[in-house]
Amino acid sequence: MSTAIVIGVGNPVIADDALGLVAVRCVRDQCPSGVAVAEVYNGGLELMEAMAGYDRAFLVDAIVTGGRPGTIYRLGIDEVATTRNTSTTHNGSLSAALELGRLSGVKLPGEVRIWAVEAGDVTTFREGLTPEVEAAVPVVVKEIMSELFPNQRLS
Amino acid sequence: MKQITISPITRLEGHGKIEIFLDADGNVANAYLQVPELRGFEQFCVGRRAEDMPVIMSRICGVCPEAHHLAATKALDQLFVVEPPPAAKKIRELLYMAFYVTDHTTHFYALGGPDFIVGPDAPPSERNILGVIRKVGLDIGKQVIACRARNHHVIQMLGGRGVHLPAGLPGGWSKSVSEEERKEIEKIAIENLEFAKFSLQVFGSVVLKNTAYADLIQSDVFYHETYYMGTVDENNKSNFYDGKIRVVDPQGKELLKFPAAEYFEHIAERVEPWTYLKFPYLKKVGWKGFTDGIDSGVYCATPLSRLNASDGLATPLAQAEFERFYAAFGRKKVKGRYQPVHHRLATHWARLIEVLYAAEHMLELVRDPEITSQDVRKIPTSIAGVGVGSVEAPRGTLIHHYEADAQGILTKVNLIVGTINNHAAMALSIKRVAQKLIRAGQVIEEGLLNRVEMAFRLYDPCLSCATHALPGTMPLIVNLRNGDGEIVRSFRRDG
Repeated sequence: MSTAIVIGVGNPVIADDALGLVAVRCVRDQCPSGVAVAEVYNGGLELMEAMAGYDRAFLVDAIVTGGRPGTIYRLGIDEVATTRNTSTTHNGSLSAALELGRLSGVKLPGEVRIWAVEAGDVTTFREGLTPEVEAAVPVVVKEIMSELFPNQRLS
Repeated sequence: MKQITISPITRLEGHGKIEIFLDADGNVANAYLQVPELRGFEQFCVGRRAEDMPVIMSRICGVCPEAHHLAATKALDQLFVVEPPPAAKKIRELLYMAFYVTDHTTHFYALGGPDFIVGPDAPPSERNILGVIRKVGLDIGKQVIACRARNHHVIQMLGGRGVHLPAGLPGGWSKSVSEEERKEIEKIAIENLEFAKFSLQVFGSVVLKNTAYADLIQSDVFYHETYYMGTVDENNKSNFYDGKIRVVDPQGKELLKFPAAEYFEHIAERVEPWTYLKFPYLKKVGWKGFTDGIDSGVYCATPLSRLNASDGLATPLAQAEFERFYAAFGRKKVKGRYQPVHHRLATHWARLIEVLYAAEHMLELVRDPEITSQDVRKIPTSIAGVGVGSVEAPRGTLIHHYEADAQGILTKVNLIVGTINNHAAMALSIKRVAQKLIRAGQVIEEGLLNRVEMAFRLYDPCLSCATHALPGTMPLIVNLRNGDGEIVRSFRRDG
């Protein structure tokens, strides 16, 4: 049986940056046992390390592209991880991390899918999402649950 | 004033941005690295219970939660007037050494080192850890992953959780170390030591023996004579966990040595009209603009500055490497301390020397008979009202300052994070590079972006402090602006 992990990426105390964490906590509450759920607070290597050992990985994160807050983007790994530039962050891009893992013999998921939600506020210390972003959470959670359990009717 | 903007756009990778201002003649007037402005921190904390701070603080940054956790815990020791038992201090420090090894190692192999190991003129898509693997061998990638895994395991064992540690308490630590755990950590410390030695060998053979790279390190492009800050112990040896903050002048003479609580007496913040960033400087010397030299209060707080501000390192192998480091730059000892090394790219070398020190010290701590003592907590019985805690975060001196009422409810919170210390110094480094490549309105495009990146990357600026990073492309954009702020030219490089 294939194994899956749902990973929320974000910062719990920076407004909409917590989106991924909030969403995966909802997934955790609805999931029967057997599905791994993780919260990750950093990108790059840490994210790669979190998905090691699983067949499928679903990521949820906030994103800032200039779009309308709350907009949900469903992305494949190739769409967000085309760069290997390590210009400013501390530990580099996810794509470089994934390739490093692959080359080094780390077992990585064959399928990585990303739900990214356009954030409204990622610069204020605050617990709680903005209403537009909050509204996207149940949609993302439902879609992930459908992916995890395609044959079940979900309420 | 013309303005050039080099922007990695959005927050996808930490949204840092470089601004270069030109004067009327088209020469570089000023430059700085913009980091995201985060709001509402004080309001977020005020009204909370002080003892919650170590856990809250470790959440503000995904990169160095351990540094924030320890600075917060130390601030609480003061706030609640309680001296932790020796074993608790040693466990905190043991955890911190494991953190240093993994953090510095990651920076060197994934971020800073590729400039040298792969080469400063290699395309950005090559200058990363994959390029390092191609050059040094696949085994290095496996070693980096193994190093991170084993040290995260130590952090988890000692701290109770891998990230967002819960173990720090006013007056101590929430759990002691069992003999089994001790043995496991000892084995890991030995592996760390071997990896640290190996990394310095790689630096020696790949970087220092390559004339082109050695010349680049020695060149005047990446050179500033500034003041240096670092924490030292009672013997003036560098210490990451505790001690007094020392500042030396560009000739190596001690200017200041003070406990963290006096920080605000010695450091002031310069505000400029063109940015919300604040630029800390030494009050005693004064602000003379974005310039180096003994009359300018600009200082930096980095691995290089920690070596410069200390009389040495407290472990034998790291001390030998320390001596070799200063000899390589022809620095002489004056009154027991080496004259500072001002070559900024030497920061990468200094970082690896710190890895060696952290690994050796980790081994010392884990072999200390007291490390398995059950006495790890002293219960506080009073509240002082004020607590200031500091540690050396990998990227600079980190200070947490809390004030609380008689019930221990926070009334004021202030932080100086490592990267902030270096705002002015980073601005100097970027300005110097830009001045070499932009003259009289003429921009030498070739190499501009690479060199500017190298100039700030060596400081390991933590742009992701408080925000994380969704994996994504990170274009660099250069906008050349005229005096009215209009863009007259634009350069762009996609990741």
